[in-house]
Amino acid sequence: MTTSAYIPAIFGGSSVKAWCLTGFDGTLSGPSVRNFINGYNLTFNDAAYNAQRNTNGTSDQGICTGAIPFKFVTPLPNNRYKIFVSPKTVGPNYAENGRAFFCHALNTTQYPKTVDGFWVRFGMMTRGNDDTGAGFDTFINGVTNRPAVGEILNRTIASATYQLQVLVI
Amino acid sequence: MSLYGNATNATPSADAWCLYEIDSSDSNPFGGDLNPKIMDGYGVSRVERISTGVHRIYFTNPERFQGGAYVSIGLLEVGNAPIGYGIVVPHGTTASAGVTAGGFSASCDVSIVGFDSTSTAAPTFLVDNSYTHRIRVNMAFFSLRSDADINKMRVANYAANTENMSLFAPSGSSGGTILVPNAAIAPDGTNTAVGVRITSNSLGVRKTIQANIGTATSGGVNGKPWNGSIYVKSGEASRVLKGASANVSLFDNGVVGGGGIVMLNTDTGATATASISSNFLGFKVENAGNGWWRISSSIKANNTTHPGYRNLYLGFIANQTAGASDELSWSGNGSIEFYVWGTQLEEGTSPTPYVRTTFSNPGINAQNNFVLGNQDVLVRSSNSGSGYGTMTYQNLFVQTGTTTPNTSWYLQNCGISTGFTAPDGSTTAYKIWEHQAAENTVYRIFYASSVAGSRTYGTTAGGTPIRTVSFYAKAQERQYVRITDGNSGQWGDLVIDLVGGVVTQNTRGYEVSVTSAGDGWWRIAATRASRANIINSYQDVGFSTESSPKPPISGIYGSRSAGVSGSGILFWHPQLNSGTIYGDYAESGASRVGTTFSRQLGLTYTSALGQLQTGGVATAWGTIVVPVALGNSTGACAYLENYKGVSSVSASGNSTFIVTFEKQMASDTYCVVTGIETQTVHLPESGLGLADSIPPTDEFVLPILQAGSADSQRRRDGFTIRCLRQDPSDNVFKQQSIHHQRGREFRIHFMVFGGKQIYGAG
Repeated sequence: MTTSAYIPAIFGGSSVKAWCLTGFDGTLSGPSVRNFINGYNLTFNDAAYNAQRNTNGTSDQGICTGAIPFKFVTPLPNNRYKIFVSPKTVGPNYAENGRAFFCHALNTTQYPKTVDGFWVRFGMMTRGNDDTGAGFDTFINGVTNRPAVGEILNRTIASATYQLQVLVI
Repeated sequence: MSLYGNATNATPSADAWCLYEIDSSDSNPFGGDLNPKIMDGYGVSRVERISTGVHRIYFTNPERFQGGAYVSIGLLEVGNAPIGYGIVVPHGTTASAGVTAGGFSASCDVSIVGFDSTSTAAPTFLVDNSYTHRIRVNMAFFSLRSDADINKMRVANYAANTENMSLFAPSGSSGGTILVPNAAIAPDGTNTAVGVRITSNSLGVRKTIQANIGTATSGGVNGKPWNGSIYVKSGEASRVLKGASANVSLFDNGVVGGGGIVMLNTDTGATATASISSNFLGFKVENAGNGWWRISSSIKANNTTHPGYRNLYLGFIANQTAGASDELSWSGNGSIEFYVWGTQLEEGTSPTPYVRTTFSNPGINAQNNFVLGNQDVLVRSSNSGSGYGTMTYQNLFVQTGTTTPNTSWYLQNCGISTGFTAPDGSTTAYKIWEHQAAENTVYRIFYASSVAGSRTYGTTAGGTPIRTVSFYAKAQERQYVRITDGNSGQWGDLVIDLVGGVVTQNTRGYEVSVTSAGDGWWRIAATRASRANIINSYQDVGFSTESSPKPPISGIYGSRSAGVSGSGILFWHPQLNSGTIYGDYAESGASRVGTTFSRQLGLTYTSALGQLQTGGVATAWGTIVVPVALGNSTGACAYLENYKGVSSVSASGNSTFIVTFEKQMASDTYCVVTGIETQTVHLPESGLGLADSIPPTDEFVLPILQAGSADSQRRRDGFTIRCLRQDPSDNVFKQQSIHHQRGREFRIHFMVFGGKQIYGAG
């Protein structure tokens, strides 16, 4: 390239509006922010998370409905930002022995994408005979390859831990 | 196309990205170890197979990923196995580390989990499929800050009084150095550069700006990486130290010898390091324009037992080698030897935008002047001996270690003589020379790449991969070197002037770099795009009998005329690499050999190397918007929003989105990553949940790089994303995502790295 990419690096103008890497506490009762790892201008939204859990309970979908709220430390000027979300597993078993993980951003009335933050869904593709997770079979109702929302949060105290990687451009 | 976007649509930039392909069929690429093959990348040194469906990606610049505080975004590509789908799941390398990944080795493991969209069978790891399946992993890494303070919005410059260094600095070891404020135009355009005039002194001609960092201010020094940076520029024309170096040292006084010195020749940009200790993380030099360089180095304050308060020194030393014997008595001539500006000391491993500080506010400067962003990778010097540079690239030429013609290469119409001085000082270079009298069209060496039939990387079945040929050449009696691709003649018009080191003909627009190797030698590298239906590939290098290139008459090297016996060029170290990056030369025997890739300091940004493509800067990005559909329509439409580098998107088959680049890519080995955003509402099919809420078994959408036709998902003019959707009626993933989106909006965010858009409309 004949022009240089270092100019914005020197004088500002980064394209990354916010990012974070966060794990989850995994307990049903407490906030999950304690495993927050790193980030910029983006944090786990404890208040929204607890409100959701109190509203929806914790029995059916692990913790809440599987929607995970994030908030910007400094609000963005508009909601036309791009969200890239990726799961990440950490622990002795790769992808917990071959399960697929799904996550994506939301934008709906109940879970809006605003200048203040957004919600992310994080699900695990489960197995019919899986017995390694708390409440697992009940949770999936015998369906073999259905991604189970919320389960991901409930399994952070199992054999592996899970993290979300969020990048806002 | 602007590579850098604009204020409202700024260019994404990754710290590393790669595209690699799974392959179990290449019988002996590296001893049959089934390692995936990097097709292209940036900031990634190699990928190895850990187990079935699990691969480890090593970063070229591990210090950027230390602690695991980075974001990795992936996208799976299954180009030639229509019933196979999957997803990429990054995994921390350290099995029990909990929140950290990689450690100092700084690698990231990736699981690829596949499943059959036509059944409810449980997903499992994708096996080591043949390359014919085109199972490829696209990964981009964004290594941002390593600060632990999640609410830290700004980064402080801990170097005080940087706007007028003479007030606060120098420290005790700087006697004899005179600083001249407001002596020249600084990189920001203001007349605030500081001149450095060196005089005789007993302590050496050095200048040190010292910053004190205590636990009360920073929240602790221990365990954190620190980066020091300064802008430097050669001084007045009358200076004595023309071509000499400015040195930057960053040391942690809590560690004996803890740090390192980076030496920079401010005239040439050449760099070296000295006094490197274990906590030295790396250094980086950026060409800041107008003669300015920004030089930075990073250390980790790793003495955990040291009492809280300590000093970190960011120094400027005006002689090339610290402690050189002549520094004590040298006194200069009264001229300004260097200009300096913009000293900054900050947490992290990369220099962020400079923040000017004042004397009245030393050490605790306001954290309010700029925002953090993703900085690019630090460049680690190749001589650090840490072995991070090993790549899976190979020298595809064989028998490069012999000068006797053999079955792998041969001469045509020319002779060869050995014993010439090479760029490394050895006498291993050789001369190819023309015969007298014979009116030969071509004087050249044929090198066969030893890949006949073994690999078919590329966009289409049977196509050859992007390849880069590199070699050293020096003018002798002949001045011009020509390169051609023996099978097609497509490089027949690539000519390099070996006196000036410039490309004189390149009508096909190949990616070419010509880098001085000293003493009249040039290292020349040329990258071509993939071609179809080429099995055996020959590269040949030759020259014309003419003193300047002329249009070919019957051949490709020039007009037909008699040669002068013995006239020719010097030649050394031919190499052919897959992909767009060429490695350090690796001499081969009868078999291909792996090459070592050493990312040279400063070249990441100085753009002479087209092979480095766009580095971490995205070449295209945008959002595919699938608007709310009407009724139960089976049709689908889509449009682009907030995009750059792409011109259009078309939707087909209710699940397929064909994105067209604004201009055609130079290569098809770019990396695509995606993010899904969906307006989730209750659907009748679900039968569960409340309207506008998330049904308990709501659909997840799986994007994948795949087209309806086998192996056509990746093209130089665009790419195809398919989206599978979980069907609530039977819970399997199907290619039916879009028309079931009725009543809600659906978005696919994407970024593309590499490839480099250079040609006409896509």
